[in-house]
Amino acid sequence: MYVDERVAGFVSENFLPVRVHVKDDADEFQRLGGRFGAEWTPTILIVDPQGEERHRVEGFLPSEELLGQLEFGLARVDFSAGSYSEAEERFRDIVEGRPDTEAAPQALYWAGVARYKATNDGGALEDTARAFQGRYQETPWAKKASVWSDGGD
Amino acid sequence: MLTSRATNVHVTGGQAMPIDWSHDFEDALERARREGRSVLLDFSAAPM
Repeated sequence: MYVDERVAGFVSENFLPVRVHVKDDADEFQRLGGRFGAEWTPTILIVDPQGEERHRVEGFLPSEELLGQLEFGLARVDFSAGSYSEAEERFRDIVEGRPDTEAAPQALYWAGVARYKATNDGGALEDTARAFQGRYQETPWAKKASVWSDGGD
Repeated sequence: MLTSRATNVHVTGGQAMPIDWSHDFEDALERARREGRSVLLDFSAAPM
């Protein structure tokens, strides 16, 4: 998954990368795999500076999808740290920059949540529900956001 | 103590672009705390 230079560059610039190989690092795989519940390879965890897992990718992904997931993980780190404005910016960058990835509808949902957490303005959630009316209707995230619309139940 | 190994080298126009993988999670986490960064922890079965 890391042979794409965009992925390699993104990983090097944004993370401290750690690899635990199922065979070559068997003891570490058993120890850390048990600690984080990694039961399959490849499994990628985004771990914040406090050692908490904030996002997980299980199984192979093509480069564009993986980049979306890595960006999503960084946004979740910001969100969990209470940096809601920074998180919203990262979520919206995914929606705008990688609109056709699996990460995009999830990012659109969480961008609304981050904006709400930053502002305590319920309009942020209503705006998000409206944004889903024009896109990603087939995803679970549109269904989750529908409760925020005026006609939501 | 596990050591750092650069793997998955991608070559573009003769320029190697490796990810400098660490194999010491606790050391990376300590660095992450100091530098306010995140750790990407990759459980892999791919050839090293």
